[in-house]
Amino acid sequence: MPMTINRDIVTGSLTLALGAVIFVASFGVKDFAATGVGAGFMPRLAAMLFALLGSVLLLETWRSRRAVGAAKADRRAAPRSGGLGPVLLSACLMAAYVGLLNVLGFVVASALYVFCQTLILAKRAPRRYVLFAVIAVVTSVAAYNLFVRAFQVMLPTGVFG
Amino acid sequence: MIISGILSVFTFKALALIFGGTVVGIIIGAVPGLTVTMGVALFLPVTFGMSPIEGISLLLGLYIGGTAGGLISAILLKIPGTPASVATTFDGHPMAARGEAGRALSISIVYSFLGGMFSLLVLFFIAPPLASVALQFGPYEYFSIAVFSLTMVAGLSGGSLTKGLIAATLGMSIAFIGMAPITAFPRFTFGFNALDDGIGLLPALIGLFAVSQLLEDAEERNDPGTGTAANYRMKGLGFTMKEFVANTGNFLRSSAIGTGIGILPGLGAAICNLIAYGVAKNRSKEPEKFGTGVMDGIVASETSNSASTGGAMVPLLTLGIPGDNTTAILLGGFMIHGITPGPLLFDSEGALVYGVFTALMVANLFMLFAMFGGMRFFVRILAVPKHILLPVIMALCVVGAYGINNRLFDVWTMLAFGLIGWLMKKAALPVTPLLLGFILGPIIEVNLRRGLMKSHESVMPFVTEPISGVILLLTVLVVGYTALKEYRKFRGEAALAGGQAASA
Repeated sequence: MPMTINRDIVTGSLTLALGAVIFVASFGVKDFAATGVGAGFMPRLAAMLFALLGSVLLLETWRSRRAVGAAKADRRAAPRSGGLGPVLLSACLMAAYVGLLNVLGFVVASALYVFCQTLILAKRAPRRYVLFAVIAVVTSVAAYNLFVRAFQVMLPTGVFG
Repeated sequence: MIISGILSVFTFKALALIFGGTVVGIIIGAVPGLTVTMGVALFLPVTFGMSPIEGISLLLGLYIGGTAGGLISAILLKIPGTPASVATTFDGHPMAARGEAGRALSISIVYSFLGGMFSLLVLFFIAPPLASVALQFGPYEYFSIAVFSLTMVAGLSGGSLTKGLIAATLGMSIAFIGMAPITAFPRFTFGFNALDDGIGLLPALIGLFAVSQLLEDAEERNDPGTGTAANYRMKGLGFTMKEFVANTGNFLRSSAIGTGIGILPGLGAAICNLIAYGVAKNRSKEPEKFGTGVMDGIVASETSNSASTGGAMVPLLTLGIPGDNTTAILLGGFMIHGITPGPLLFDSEGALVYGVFTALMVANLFMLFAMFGGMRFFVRILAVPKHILLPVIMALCVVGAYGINNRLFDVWTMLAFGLIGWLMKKAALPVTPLLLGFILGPIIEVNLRRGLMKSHESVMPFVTEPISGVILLLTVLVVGYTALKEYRKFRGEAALAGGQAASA
């Protein structure tokens, strides 16, 4: 329960901050000669909305903190989480995949990615390395051939192309 | 003329092309990131050597199949195959997760078919007058419709309206990035030239749904396991006659929303499924059940997105105005085959127009058969363990994001939105309002500024133009009603909290 409240305080504060940033940045938007509603108008409107909504969210959170007994617990945040490690690892792996796409080409990069990502997601499932590797290679080659040859989609071929 | 037009489609070659187009379209639609636009564009050169009706039959098959195909991944994987099937995930996936994947697919397929047929009947009987009404829509009307559509945020926010509005504003703000409308100066691009063109809807959509889903599954303590029991067996069509009758109003309303929004150039299937879902939820006697896997939600989404296909053909055939990217390419296809859509088409090429109607009907029928025939294979996806399935889907998403413009930047965008989507789930911010803000924000801004330029900076025409005025009045009524509902909820909670504090 307190986690929900803290989370909403963070969200509300970030919303306020985002509003302030957009408001300041909106004055840097180039425009034609002075008109009432130019390219900076909607961003300023959005900034004000952010400020308003952030304040409302903080106010709501403050009220529910006062009436803690009535605050609803967030059941979705049940202790099923296995920690942030695999999430960060997956995000880094994806970034590496995209970063290496042009160098290694779609087939190699995808095969490596699919193999590693499967291992991250498998957790306690049996780690059948050979099966995972075969799946990774077969799906990457099949996808490449399907899209490049049948659908004429361009994909990076990389150094092995 | 009518009969010769209809008969022109009933040759073996034309029927085979429609069937082939529909099946390929379904596959393209089902893969997240591959869109019907891409499918039609890819197959356009293939049609060069064909007769006009054959070539157009193939393209229309792709169009119908591609729009419907998105429901498969929306239901089975909770990843919409196309922007048109976002709302199908809301109830389609929970129903599949309960072990009723067959029922969810069956409802979607049947109502896709019915929605498509409804809009074709509209196209068949009242296309020219509808098109002339749509042509009167100027900046004031578009502005008002987009603002009205934004009120759907209330129904799509989940628990907290405040958070829904924050997400919608965030979506609008993301759409600021790129060239400003009218002036075309880049804004909020932070010096990156790649951002000059703005953020694409498709990479954002794939990121928000597919990538964030993978990150969420990575966080689970145990391996994600398989989806659910791959149960597709069911009695009959998976729904009873009683349920069908109960959804008649919902069906007609969603068909009208889909056809209406389809007719208006520039809005399209990406918005109408969300609006139809929002309206169905608002009008339902049990709105709290939406999102848990109810039939009504699936009916609203799938009926409306299929109905938009017939709607989009109205301005295309009668005025030669394409409503979205896909119909723009279809227009190109028509012209390549020597057909110039426009008011004269119905007089000069009457037989061909009826050929197009017939091809669309046949494509809808083939879609129905192909989907039911393929259902037993689709649901097998659910038997694949997620730790194997999700990485492969991710690789396909990369194909989709890269294939849009052949640039890696879109793939990075997809990843960034995956992180945004994951963070939003952590903060319990709903994703759908963000999408709504992202799509509607630019429509609101560009039409507001166009309208003000037209009226010399006066806001009055937005209110005094009859169509625009009525829509804005409706908007005010909806907002007022929502505010009242929220206030009552707030008072109720406050009273409850007070009572509990007193008893403690």
